[in-house]
Amino acid sequence: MAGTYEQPLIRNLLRWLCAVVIPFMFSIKPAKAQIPDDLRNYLERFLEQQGSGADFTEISDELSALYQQPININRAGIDELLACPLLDAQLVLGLIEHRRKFGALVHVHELQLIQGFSRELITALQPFIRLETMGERGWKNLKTYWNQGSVEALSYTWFQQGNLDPRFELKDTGVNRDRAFLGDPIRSSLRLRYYKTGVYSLALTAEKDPGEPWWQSNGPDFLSGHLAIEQIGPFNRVIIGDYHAAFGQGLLLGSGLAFSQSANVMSIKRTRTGIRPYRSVNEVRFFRGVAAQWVKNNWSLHLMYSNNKQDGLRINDSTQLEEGLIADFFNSGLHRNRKEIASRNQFSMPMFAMAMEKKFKAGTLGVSYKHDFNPGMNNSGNHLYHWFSRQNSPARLLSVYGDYTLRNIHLFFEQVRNPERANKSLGSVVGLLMSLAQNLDVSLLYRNYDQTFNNPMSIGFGNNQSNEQGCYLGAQWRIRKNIGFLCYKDIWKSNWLRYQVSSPSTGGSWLAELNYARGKQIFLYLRYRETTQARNISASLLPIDAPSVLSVKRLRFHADYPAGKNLSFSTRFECATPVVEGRARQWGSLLFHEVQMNKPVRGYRISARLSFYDVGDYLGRIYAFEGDLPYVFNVQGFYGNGSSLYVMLRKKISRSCDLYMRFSSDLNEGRGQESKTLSGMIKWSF
Amino acid sequence: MKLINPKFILLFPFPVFGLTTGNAQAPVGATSRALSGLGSLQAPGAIGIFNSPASGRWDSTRALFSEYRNFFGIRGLSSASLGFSTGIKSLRVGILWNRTGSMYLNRQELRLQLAGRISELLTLGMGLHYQKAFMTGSYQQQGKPALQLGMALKAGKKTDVLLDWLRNLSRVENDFTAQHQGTAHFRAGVRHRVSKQAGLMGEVHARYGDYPNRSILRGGLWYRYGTFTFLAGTSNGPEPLSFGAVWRKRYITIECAAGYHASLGFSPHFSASCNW
Repeated sequence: MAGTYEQPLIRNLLRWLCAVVIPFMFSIKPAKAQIPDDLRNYLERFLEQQGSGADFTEISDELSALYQQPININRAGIDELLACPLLDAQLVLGLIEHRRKFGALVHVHELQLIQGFSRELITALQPFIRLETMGERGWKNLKTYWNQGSVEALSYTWFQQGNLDPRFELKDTGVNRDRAFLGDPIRSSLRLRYYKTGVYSLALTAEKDPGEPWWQSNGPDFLSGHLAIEQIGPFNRVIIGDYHAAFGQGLLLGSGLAFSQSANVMSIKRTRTGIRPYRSVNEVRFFRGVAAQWVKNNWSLHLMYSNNKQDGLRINDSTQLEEGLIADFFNSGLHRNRKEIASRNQFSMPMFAMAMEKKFKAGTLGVSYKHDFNPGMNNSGNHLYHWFSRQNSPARLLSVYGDYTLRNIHLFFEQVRNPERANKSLGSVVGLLMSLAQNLDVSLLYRNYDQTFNNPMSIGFGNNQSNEQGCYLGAQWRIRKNIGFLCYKDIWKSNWLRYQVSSPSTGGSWLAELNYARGKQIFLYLRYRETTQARNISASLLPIDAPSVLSVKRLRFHADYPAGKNLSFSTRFECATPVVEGRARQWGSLLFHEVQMNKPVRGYRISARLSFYDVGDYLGRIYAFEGDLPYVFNVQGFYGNGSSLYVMLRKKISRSCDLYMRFSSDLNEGRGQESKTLSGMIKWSF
Repeated sequence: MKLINPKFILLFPFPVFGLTTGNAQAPVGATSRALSGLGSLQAPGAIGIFNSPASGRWDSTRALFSEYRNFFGIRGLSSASLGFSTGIKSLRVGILWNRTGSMYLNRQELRLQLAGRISELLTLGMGLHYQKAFMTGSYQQQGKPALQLGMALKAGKKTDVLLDWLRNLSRVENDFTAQHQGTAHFRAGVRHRVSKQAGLMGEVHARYGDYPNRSILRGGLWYRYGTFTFLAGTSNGPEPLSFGAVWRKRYITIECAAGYHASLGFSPHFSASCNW
């Protein structure tokens, strides 16, 4: 590689260690294990819908936070319970009804009295739940808690050979000055966290992407951290630094990863609400500042101040009338060449927000308010499809949200308005979860986001957070103990243009799945999914970008099954075809076979997967979730004709140190590409 | 021979509100609508005719209006029906008159229906329809007869399989106002009761003749809560999602439903009927 990056690796690693590790070199106790592997299938159901471009690092943090801070099932509300990956609407409504009738549970196995809770499910649930009838712990002895803290350190590095971006090879001179990558092709992150569950958390994260220099002008490319303290003074939680905040259905205040249509058909409600520390390496969509939570009886108040920076460019051309306006915002978090580095942290987005909630016996009612001190920053770029959102950037937004549980029915809603134009709703969501019978659940949701609704911190249900109206209906039926059927149908329309759609448009998607599960090791499913939406297809015969109707149909068979005492296999066949008017239909297919060890042998644990794919049309690329290093979630998009292999190894080096390695090789004959990637992670628990 | 269940049915003319078309039907118009037009599983077909021989079904009209509503700009469609039924233990007969109208389009129909329960497992039904449609001030369609045959088979304690076939006896090419677009319709459905309160339904509807051959898949569910029944349905037809609620008390049934179309939004339907 004859690139221009000359910064020595060792020196840079040492600089990172000095900047990030030293503050944590005083810990005592081994950290808790990572999230269990059993959740892989659960995660794939959410992740594959997002495509391979999304950043999934956050979901690991969400799940590990749940794992490290188990839910108190005697006190948790419906939202907290639904956030647990193994609980669905029917189980949660049953548990709440049981608590209402008989009071707090005295033992976890009392759950067996509630319809749907089997012994296997209770065993699987145990890492995520706890039973406490008294209030949460507070600060009693600072020194004791400090000494009981745990440190987790993760170092992740990634090397790639072949199939490199040609911009790595460019010299940083002349015409290539704005294009040449200044860093090496290594991806690296270092994450440290010192915490005591339910008392405090102190974390620092540094990250660089391939192509980025190890050291920017003022430190690592991305540096994030927080100090969170629970039960301090009058506050239940105070966070200084980076944090997530979500209230109601996430329309007004919502950050973090959120999923919409997925094979988890009942997961339509935003359940991870409140403020919580941010620990991910995703460089956008979080708050940076101070947040505090105050709870008294059934009232709670959250106060937040944030002044995060946003990457973007202004129009510098003096011949244009729009000179000085924002040309575009960038959310990739990439700062690899001079142009990208120049766009880094260009815009300040200061804001103040508050949320007040009152809990009732059967529900919650809340109000949230947000004040942007620099509302022009909400403009999303100089594109025609942002026309309405550019015209409307209110400084103040107000939302009302709530939920209500009536026996087996759970209703929820949120509506956002501009207080200055209170007669018009900017965004609203209304939904319900119903358990119609012991084995039949239904979910229903209607959403309406006006094209003038412009809120970058919104995670409402749907494909877009603006310019969308839609309706969703999902059902889940357990036909027999081992056999289940689920389906959903979602339709939507956009009254104005969208990204890659140059006219108002409509769309829809539906999914049907028949599945069979026996024990924890056998799981089979047959799934059909179809998505129809408008899309500008460049092959159009018209001289302008006229949207065509693009429909993608997918059929998948997947089987997880055991092979011997310590081995399990996974096999999948999937075919997909994009259908566009006036274009020949082309089927693509993927077949993979995976083998993995269930328990380590002599400290080693290995898994491997071999995939064959033949996908001729880019619009019909097939996604598959691939095993990766801890805290890394990888959804691969297969396109072309070839084969792919990966092997993963985990070795426990010592009591406090684990090593993870992953080697992958991809030979894509259809596109004439070959690449090999080696990545590794060391996890220290002091 | 003792007649059982002599029954009159009257549907009150009821205005329909909404931006798109509406169709008030008795006694299961809005119900069928709420289930995305799950025709074979509600009033029509053998069980429907047997249980309520004076009932009617106009979901093919509904589908027609849904698909051509932009063309017609139909709104404010209303309907009125009057029927009478009677029968013996295993044989029922009914007669029904219906008038459906809007600003542009009116249609009258007379229907004779007959159903017999052959055994606990099998029920057969037959309907003879005669309808006439005309557009305001300009056009009057020749009267058209149609024949409907239905069969219901019990496939278990909680499951029924239903087949329904309908054929126009006179062929009218490219006629928007025809009640039964296409020369023949075939429906095959399954109805399963999940519990005493809830059930699921599914149907395949194939259309033949002058309408482009196309199969429509429909699914629906119902949930009973006291005197209320809540319904939801989905299909790959023009209105992919639909919802409804029915209130029944003694002689009175009030139904409301809404189909949701991605472009046109909700199209609400209301109907009220009285059986005595």
